Amino acid sequence: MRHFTLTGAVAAGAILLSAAAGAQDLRVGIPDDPDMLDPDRTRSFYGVTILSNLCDSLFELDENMEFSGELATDWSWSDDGLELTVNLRPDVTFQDGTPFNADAVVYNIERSRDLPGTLRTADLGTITDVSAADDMTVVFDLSAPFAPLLAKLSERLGMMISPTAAEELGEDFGNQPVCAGPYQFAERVAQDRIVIERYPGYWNPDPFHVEQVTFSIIPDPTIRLANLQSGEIDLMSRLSPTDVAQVEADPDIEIEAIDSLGYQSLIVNVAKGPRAETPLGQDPAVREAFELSLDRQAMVDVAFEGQYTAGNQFASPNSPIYNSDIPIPPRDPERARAILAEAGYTDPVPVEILVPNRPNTVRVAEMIQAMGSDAGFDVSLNVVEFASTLNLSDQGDFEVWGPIGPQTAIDPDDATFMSLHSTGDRNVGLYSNPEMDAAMEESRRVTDPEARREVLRRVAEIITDDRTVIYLYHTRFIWAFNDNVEGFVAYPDGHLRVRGITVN
Amino acid sequence: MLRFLADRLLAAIPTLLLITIIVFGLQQLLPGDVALILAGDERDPAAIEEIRELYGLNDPLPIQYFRWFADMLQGDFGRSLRTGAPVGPMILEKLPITLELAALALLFSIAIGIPTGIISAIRKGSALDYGANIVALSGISLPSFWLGIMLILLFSVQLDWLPAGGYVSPLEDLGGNLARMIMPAFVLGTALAASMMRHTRSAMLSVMRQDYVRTARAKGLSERTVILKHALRNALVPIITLTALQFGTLVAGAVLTEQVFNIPGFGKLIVDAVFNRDYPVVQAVTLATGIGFVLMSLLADIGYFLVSPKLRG
Repeated sequence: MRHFTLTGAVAAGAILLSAAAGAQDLRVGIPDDPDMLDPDRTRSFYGVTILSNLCDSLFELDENMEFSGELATDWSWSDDGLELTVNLRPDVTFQDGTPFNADAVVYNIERSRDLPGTLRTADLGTITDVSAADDMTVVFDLSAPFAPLLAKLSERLGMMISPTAAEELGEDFGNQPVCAGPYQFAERVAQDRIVIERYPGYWNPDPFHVEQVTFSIIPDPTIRLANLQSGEIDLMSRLSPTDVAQVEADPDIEIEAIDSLGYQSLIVNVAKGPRAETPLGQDPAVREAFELSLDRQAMVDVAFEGQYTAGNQFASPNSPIYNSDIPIPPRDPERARAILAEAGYTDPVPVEILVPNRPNTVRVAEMIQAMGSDAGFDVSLNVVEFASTLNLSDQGDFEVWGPIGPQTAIDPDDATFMSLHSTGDRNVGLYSNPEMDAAMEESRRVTDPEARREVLRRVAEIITDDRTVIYLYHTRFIWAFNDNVEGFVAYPDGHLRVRGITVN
Repeated sequence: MLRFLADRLLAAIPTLLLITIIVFGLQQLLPGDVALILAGDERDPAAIEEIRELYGLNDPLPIQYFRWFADMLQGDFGRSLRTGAPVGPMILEKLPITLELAALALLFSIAIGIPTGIISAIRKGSALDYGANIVALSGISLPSFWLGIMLILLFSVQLDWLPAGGYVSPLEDLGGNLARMIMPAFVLGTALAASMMRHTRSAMLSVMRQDYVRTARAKGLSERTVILKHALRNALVPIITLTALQFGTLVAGAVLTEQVFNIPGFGKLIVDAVFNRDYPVVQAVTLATGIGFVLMSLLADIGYFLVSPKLRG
């Protein structure tokens, strides 16, 4: 035992030394290894987290969800909504010295469209052409108005990469990205860490105090927390809801949490293949009864220690676009059974849910199973690894799929159109309602925020009545950090902004 | 001896070929379409089709296999479907990490397992023997992920003596490297030490009953010489076999240990690659592990030559 003690003491000394040397370095624990660090090819959540520190976008979203220019200075829409003119920030250079200008923007948008393996084609929406009006002005031509465009241009589609580097590096760009953001890529060790350091030529250096950020990939939430408590990292993403109480009792660790913009839901197969031929898939009354069997607050309380937010719409009850005329219906198993009896069902109605095998998700599904059993349902769970649920849902081999939701949803369009419009790519149950299609198309046309909110209220009315997507709860992004970190702000998109943070 | 080794190496080639074919076939049986996984939230059918086209996923399986095989012979293991990084360098980067962990764990298990095995064999039936057996049994039974988390909670969180995980290259910072490796090597070595101890004990017991041991004793040699020079040397043959075959256990154990201690090694690489359906990575890692097995059994053969003159024939 003495042997270990000695080694331990030596190691502890080494850690103290390295901590002293690394002032103003921020060490962040994240759960997943990002994929390609290329804005046109990444699909992972933490890929976006890293890239948003490396790459400035044309626009940005502040913590109040308002848009402002980042690499754009100002912008204007034509009256018919078919032309967006954007003025660009002068005197900006990419991290390899290439100047940022209208030609670079045109290059980037065309790359998002044409690059082999691009994942941005849906983000382009109705863009038909992008051109340089002069050196510092670009014009986007659209075939139809597309309200989510600014949101798309504040995310991966709008992240500007250096055309010179993109041409030189080709397939390797994603391993050493070059952009125009406050930090530049320094090092990546697969499945271990990604290091980024300050870009000295950044156009807006003042709000940034941290010299270097190390993202350590630590998948297990318990181990991530242990690393935070032992001081190996300063800040961690996604504290487990079940650890919040313990951490709140720790005077050295602080917590910041915010509702995510996405949702977790059950998707009912209503028309895709023979497995849609179920009472739940075909009979709206059965879906009404099924929703009445659910106690969403209990799910959140039991599975997530009350740390997440129960909900019944695509937007959280805390969101400005939540339709407060449709509150969460309370659980009512008697009425559920009465509705089923009235619709002619005498035996328990069988329901099979396809559940991705993530621990929290399975816990929620088990609660749904228990709640259904005393409301006239016989719920069985088909728990399968996540990647397989993607396939099964794509082939229509499911009755109900969930809890599942979009990964990122900075614009309400991300949380609605793809899953609710009859042609939406994520509408795996083939839900189709002409009234919904009309509302969804209108939501993309209207650019006035107030008018758009009105349309989204109608979308919430239709879907909570059709119940082909049954919304359950909204996760919260829970960050924990040691008290040497100051100025941290949690954003509803869940990504880390280093701006304003100091490390003592 | 050289000829023997050359024969063994040549015999390994069909084995390795078979491994690559089996793994290639098996991963096609995994449910889940890689194109859907790569597309993520984006489920635009055109984008998904383009991904299939880009990685040649639409081609018949034998063609996909032979394309991989031809590239592999030229030293090109392809690129990770997920990160786009070349797979060859990725493996070379991970290999030393897991080898270091495995070597430390093996050292640890030898240092603990063999002496306790000998002691409990010569003191058979004593309190010492039973004590060692109880410890060994608990060593085999303790789940490594649980032991790992407990050690982290004790030494990293409570006492703050050791880092909770991660990896630093020994070339960069030897102290930091050892401080991070000591807990995982202990965890990985524990189960191994226990089975090593059990095997040493039984091997020693059977050797001690042999005539030549009785003869050695009758010659009046000291008990120490009898045990270390005559008995142990012969008991070592099965122990060496065991050690070489433990390589598999070590790699399998490294999968869990690396996950708990967040060590970016081979085990973590293959687990993540399987979940992400990152076929080129799975394929290359399996091949490398297969080569590792072949090399370890060769080493065991060399070991026999060295300890047992009987086999030199």
